[in-house]
Amino acid sequence: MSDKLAGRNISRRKVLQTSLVAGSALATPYFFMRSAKADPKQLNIYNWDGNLGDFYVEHWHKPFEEAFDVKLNVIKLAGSRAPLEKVQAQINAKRPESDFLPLHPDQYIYAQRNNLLMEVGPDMVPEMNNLYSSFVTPHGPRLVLWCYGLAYNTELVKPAPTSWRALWDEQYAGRVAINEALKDQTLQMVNLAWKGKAQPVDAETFSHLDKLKPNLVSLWTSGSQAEQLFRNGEIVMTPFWNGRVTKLRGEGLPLEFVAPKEGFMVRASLYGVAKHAKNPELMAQWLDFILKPEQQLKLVEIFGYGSPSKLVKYTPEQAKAVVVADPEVVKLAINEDFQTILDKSGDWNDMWTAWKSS
Amino acid sequence: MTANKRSMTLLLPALVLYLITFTAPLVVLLVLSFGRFDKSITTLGFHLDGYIKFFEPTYLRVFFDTFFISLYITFFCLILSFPVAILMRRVQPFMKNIILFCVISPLLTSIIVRNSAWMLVLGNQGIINQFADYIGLNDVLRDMGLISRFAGLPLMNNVFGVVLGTVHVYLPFMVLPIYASLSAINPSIEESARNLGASSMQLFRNITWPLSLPGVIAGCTLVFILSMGLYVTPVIMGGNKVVTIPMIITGLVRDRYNWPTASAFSVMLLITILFTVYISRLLQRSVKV
Repeated sequence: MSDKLAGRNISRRKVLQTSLVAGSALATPYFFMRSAKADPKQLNIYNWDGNLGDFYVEHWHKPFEEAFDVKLNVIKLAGSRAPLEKVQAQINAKRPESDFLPLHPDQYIYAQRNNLLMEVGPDMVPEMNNLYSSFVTPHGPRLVLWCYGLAYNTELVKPAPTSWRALWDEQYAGRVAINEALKDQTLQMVNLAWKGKAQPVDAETFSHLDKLKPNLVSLWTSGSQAEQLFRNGEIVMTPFWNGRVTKLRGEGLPLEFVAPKEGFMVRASLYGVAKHAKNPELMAQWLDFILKPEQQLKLVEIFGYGSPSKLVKYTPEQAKAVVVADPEVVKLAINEDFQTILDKSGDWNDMWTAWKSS
Repeated sequence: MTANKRSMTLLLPALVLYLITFTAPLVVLLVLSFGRFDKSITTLGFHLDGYIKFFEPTYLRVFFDTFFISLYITFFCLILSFPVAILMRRVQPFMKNIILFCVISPLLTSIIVRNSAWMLVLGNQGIINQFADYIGLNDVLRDMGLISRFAGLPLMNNVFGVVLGTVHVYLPFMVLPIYASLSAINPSIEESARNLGASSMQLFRNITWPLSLPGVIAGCTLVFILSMGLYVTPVIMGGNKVVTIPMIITGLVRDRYNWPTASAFSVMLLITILFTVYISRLLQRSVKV
């Protein structure tokens, strides 16, 4: 073999030729992808992980596919947030992997600042006409009203907590967790517990977190991780989202959700369409489909997440699960300043890291 | 032109791939690391914001935490691996293969599955704590005020959990280089030493250990470098309470979209790793056998 090779000379030209061929071979898929036209019958769509993702597939994706004879290609999200850092690069390259962008309120502001969304109004999504006005944005509907309160094990936490301060109760040392998936919610929760107002996040906020440290078993980074902590019996109490509690109760876990007296958070996510989406019309059609009262009610029934649609009417049991149907409880919901949350997130993150590593 | 040089042509496709998938992103990373992130907008230029942030006390502390956790992992891998490697050298091939399989088996499982399995063993409601509850150990510790009412032995959600979960999976990276070095030792050297009256301890100190050093250095370098990149295990086994630099980098990108600072931190991590490799090479040269 080496004798054969020894007979051949390697020239600079040969090196360049080989490199060119190899480079072209590697780049070929890219050019195919760029030139490929979108199939009008297919929609690339982000979906949540865990139970919520399963719900979307079963109750929103499959019926839509059957009703409109289309195919939804699901891209599963890892964690609780759309990967905006990746999406931004894709949109800048005019090739977003998903036409659908579910965004948290702070992410929506980021997306607006960086021009990542298409404008979507009732002309494209007629069902938006049936939403309460505060849930209509120039970039699509805001839906899935998720409440952030206190979830606790009814068998082990007695008496039932009514305040965020229950997390600091030393009898629960080593059996409490807090949310790192959305740090801003945790920091505002600490402020509500001890200052009676969500802002500002400062040294005092972290001094209260210091006092909470002995009680903490984990700082969970996704809803499914927190669910698992409850299932394993690792924790008895954590600030959590009402829908996840409804789901766990459905599994037979003795859990309850309470909106603490100091105030709690209600958020709705923007269901937007990515700029340069391949199939914006089909995307709008899907949004219109999921906004219909019958689809919205399924989310209420299974997860207890409230709907922004005026056409959705709750049964007394559903009203309890969605939390926001009770005017007395709604009074406890705080107004969050998402501009500040986004702009201060860097400073808060620095303080959070210093606290965690101290 | 020699045959060897001509054979290098075979490397070209891999080289091109390497340039596209490794070198190019690295250049992008370097450029971004000098960018600036302000009010959610990233701008390129020559700014040192990210590097300055790295040297803030908070992040330096996290860096040194990562560094020392990596050292712990390397140390425990070494002391656990050496006896295994010696045993592998001494036993019959069939037995050696069984040990080898046991050592590399953690690599055959997903990291999430592996860590979740550890939770079932080490958690508050895990097997060990259930046993400690059963024999009354936890009650004694609760009475002494060492653990709280509901908690068990603190076996995870701390540095111990992270080190244990990582050592478990990085053992092969230490065992295999050490075993390779030990296998290269000529048995007649050890036999001669024994014939001259050397004790087992003297044999280990003067022959086995020095001759195994190239493998030890290679293993330590590998394990240390891998440990500096720890992310998933601190999140699960450390309850996300043990912070490492890769966790900070991920947070900067995922939650704050702050690519410039994340890139600067990545460059600093890369420099640390390159420095480790350099030290490793110096050590390898100094112990050349």
